Amino acid sequence: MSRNPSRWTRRALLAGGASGLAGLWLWRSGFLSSTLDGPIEWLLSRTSFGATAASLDRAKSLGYEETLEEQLHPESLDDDSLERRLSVFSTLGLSGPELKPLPGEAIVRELVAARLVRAIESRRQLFERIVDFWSDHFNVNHVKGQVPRFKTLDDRDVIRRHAFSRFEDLLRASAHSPAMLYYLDNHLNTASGPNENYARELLELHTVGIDAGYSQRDVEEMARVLTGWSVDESEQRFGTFRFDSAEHDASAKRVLGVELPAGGFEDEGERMITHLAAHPSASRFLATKLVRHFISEEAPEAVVRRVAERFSETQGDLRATYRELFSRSSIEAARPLVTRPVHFFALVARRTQARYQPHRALETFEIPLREMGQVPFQWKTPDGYPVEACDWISALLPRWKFAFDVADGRVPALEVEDRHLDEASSWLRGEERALLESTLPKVSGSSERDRRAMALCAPSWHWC
Amino acid sequence: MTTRTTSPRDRFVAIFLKGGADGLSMCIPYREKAYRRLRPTTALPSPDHGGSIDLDGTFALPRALAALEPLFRDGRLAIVPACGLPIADRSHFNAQAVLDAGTGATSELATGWIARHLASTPPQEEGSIRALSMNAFVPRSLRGADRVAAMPSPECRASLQRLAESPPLRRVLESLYRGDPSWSAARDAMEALIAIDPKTLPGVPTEPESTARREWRLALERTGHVACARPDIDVLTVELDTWDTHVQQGAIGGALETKLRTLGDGLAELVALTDPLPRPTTIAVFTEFGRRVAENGNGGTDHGRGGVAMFIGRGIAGGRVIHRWPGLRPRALEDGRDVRITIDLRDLLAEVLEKRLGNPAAQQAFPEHDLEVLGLTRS
Repeated sequence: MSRNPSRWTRRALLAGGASGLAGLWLWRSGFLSSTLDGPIEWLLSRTSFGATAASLDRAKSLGYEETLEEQLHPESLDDDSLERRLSVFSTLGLSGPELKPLPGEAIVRELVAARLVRAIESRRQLFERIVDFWSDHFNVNHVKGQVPRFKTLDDRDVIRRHAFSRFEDLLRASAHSPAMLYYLDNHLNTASGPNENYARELLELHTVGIDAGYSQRDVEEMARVLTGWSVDESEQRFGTFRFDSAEHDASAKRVLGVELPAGGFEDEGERMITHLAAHPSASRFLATKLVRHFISEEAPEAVVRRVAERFSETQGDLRATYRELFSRSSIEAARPLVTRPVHFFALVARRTQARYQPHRALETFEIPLREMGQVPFQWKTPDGYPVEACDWISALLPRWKFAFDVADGRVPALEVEDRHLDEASSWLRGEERALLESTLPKVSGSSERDRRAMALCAPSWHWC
Repeated sequence: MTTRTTSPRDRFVAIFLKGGADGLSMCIPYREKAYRRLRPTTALPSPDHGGSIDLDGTFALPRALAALEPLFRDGRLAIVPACGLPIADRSHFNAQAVLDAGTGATSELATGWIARHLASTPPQEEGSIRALSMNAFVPRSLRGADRVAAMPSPECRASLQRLAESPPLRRVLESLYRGDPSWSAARDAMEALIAIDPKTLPGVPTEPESTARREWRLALERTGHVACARPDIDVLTVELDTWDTHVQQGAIGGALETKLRTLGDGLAELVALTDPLPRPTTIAVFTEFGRRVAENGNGGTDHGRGGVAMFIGRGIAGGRVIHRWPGLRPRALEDGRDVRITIDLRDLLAEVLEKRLGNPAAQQAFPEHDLEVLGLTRS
């Protein structure tokens, strides 16, 4: 199962390393030219939380197109064994009223743990990567007020339900999601006291982007459109959308050139969501973001254009958009991307066949992920966890700590067999392996554990 | 490169209040009628009967920042209201990116303003860490800088004990990273691992949902301890988030007051720790924008424009509110709603770089702006 996933020409960066500014400039200007040793390997690196021996074998026998097509239809992939593993989490499937009396902390723990179990174990790997993307795009930090309860609903009924439908459906679901409305204060946005927090991010982060050329006036008008969009916290309908017409500002409005005559109600917001989802700036904005997340931080123009066109042509059909995003020609433009901590953790767990109990999963995941800086759903601001390599790479120590903790058996309730750790070294690049083999034995006092830890510290684990 | 040995080479502590800190609550324009009228539930009291601390007959310091009063009276603290950057979109993310990049309008530059400052000043000591982030990540103001790292946690140090103690093992790791884009980050992380002994520093909070207050206090305390332990580190950066008070900002006893008290107390402690050190320290506290003058319907404030910056140090010409106060009359407000920016934050930061940090090319940190000297520093 040895492979050589990312042979990059990196020598000039070594020269540039003497001056970080120069190094960064080279990096930013797309210096990292990569030699694809196989489109299938690249495809798996972008559509899963890391290829395993089994997934690589399967992909090779299916071929590129069929592998992609299979992952584009997650519903066709049997994930029963994952579902059985998740069955210990009793809150994932509950309704709002059922969640209401439960302690928020317990609900959050289950959701976060489930996120990790799914990333590691699901056969619907692309689906989980895509969920990761939209969870950041429509970021809801689950700390505030009732959000711990609403977030489970948002994750299930907004993000996971619509991740492969039309963008408009996803956006509309998010705009009606109690978690989002609460997180960005729109439940308090009323005719007498407008609060523009959600309206601003709906434009800036969720749809058209800051470069679309809207004004502060548009933000204020959008906030007025959304007055009365609130959350039902009653016993029977806890955690559902509620339009409070008494709090809606019914005067005339004009947002992004759309005239909304006086006397409108909830329909104004619905109309604006339709408008925003179909806005040319949105297709461009979303395509750029998808490309930066999955293909290359540089967001090559040709790829962005194709993905944006596909998005527009299909009226925001996300499955069709992903098909373009992961097409051979897009993948040819792929450059190494950083593995964010959840990805890194999943990668290590997948390739070392790590064993853990789902009901103790949070114990296992939480401390390393907090130290590495990415506990799912805990990014505080609505922009979601960053994707830029320079941010994550500036925090290598906690990643190395994780490597040593895994090799030393110090990660709580995580069992990794030494032989599997040894096998995981076969995922290193050839020169990394050769270097470890030639240098480590000469380090006096170094142990087998050091060798295993150092192998997990290698750059290969931090890039995909 | 030769530098005049006479020019001061202060240590710099850059504290970024992320989320848009409400300037009107940090430097209260207590004589403005509009302030009380537009802020029925969030206006802070005037200095009458000690409700706040009169600074200069025009502005007052909130009681929550009382710990800073001695520094102001002592001439070491300068407060600058109505300052910021000329970006009008009121987006956190854009404003933060622009501020970190050190531009005025776009975030196109691939390097940060503090990184460019470091590039144009020689290190205090060759080969060691030049800037340390007190947060988990290196901030984007240091993007592209060499010899910068994030503070290692005590837990990190403990798990990486073998690495920290074995130079040959570190050399193996360094060779693994040679040629990788993350090579300099890896080298600097190792340097930070051996340079900072966390045993001399207060521990980290252990509870998962530790409050911002505890995190901030800890970050500011640690900054002081690191400054004491490592006089060679030129720059320490701290990012304190959650200043985005859209809801229930409150006045006395409110959420913002708690944040300000933590900030004020933490800053005072930081100054107490660094003041006796032979190498002087200059502290800059800034935010991406201030908040709207009128409060919203939820006892909070939405994104605005002009905010407040604070500068602390023996080299700061303090004891003054430095301002070109535009007033809060409707016509004085930007877009009819926000404090107009009359002082460019970059002028203040550049003056600190040039006059206190010995940077002969401060303009390079802020390339898109003709700098104006405002007399923030002592000559």
